[in-house]
Amino acid sequence: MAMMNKPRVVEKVRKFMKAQKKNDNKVGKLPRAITLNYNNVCNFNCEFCFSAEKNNAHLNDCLSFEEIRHLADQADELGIWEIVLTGGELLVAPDKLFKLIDAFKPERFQMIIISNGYLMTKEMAKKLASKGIDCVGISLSGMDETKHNKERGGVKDAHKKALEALDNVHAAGMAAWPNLIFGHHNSTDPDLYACLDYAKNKGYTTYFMMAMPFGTWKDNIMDANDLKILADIRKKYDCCFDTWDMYDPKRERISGCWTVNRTYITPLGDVLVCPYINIKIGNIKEQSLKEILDYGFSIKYFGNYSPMCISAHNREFRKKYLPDAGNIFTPRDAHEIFGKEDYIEDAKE
Amino acid sequence: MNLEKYDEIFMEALELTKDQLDGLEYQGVSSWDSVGHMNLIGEIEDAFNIEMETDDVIAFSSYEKGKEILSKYGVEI
Repeated sequence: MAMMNKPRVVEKVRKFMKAQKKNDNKVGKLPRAITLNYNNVCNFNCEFCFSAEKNNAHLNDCLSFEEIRHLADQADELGIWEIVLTGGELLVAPDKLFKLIDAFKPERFQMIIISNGYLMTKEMAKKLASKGIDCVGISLSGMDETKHNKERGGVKDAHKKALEALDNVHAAGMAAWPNLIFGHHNSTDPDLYACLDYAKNKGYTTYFMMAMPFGTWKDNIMDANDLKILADIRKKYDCCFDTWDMYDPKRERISGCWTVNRTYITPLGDVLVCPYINIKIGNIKEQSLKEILDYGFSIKYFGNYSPMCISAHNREFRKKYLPDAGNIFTPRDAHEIFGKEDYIEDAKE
Repeated sequence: MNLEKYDEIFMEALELTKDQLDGLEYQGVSSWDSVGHMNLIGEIEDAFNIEMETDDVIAFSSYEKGKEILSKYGVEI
């Protein structure tokens, strides 16, 4: 009953839901979440990692706890109710992770950690639950152990530990989310369904991420049939995807792409419109979070409703504004790539 | 009349049948998790034209308890 133990979160979620309902169930310009990449150090070397950089130049970078406290206070004031902590792999430095959680004052937010699960022992899961973490997403390729381990740089028991991690998280009273990639490559793969069935039997909610058409998955272009399959999966399994309205019991409504609604903050303080679009709309060391979000929402691609995930499914956008994928440490500056015609009329730049 | 409406909301929001309602508690079925709970509360508020306080949203821990809470808002089930 994690969220129900956090009255401030219940209050903010209700405001968010009411505003979304008023907006025809579309996400609009309501800030919901922050994903913070605290530090990029990792114990794995995954083939598909979107935050990896070739020269590891930023492994020592992270925001100070004072900066994080200030960020958290601003986020709370703006009604943001969800914090996603990621890296790298944050469990490689548990003491820092605990301080990071404390810095947010976790009673104010639904707190989520994304992990590869390798270090998520029973004791660690219990400790995280006691610190105020509500959900843990564990990256899984499927039920094929060999494939999972290979995709994670050949770590021998990565798959076994990931499944154990989900069990440990669940036993500690947190929500366990297997994080699965969906794309053209696996939309009909029996292993995907084996994993979905596994999660269903365990009572876990599967969180989908799309195979983004850059980097490892650059030729992975989803077609109409893949999207139909995904919609069918939504009906059949307990699962989430970011454009879906999670509060629709019929599992049909699309609340829309959440660029800027759920920003991604790098260890340098750069604010990207989402984890998969390396476009920077500001830096939290230089501006207030409100100024940054207002600016982000003034850009028509992010402020207007988009039923499709811009990063995964809007090929024109990617071709025009992100011809090179870059990485999270070398984002393109929104001020430089967007022209007057790219802003919402009357929106304040 | 109100009971019928109350039951309908539970059945629709949590995808349940009528025979599952008696004795139903929060997290007693997979659909009544925190997401299902927030949706259920929203539907009840709309149907009975009320706005619950945060403490009552949190205290709404069972089908029966919900009836008790609604009476605070002048809705007798």
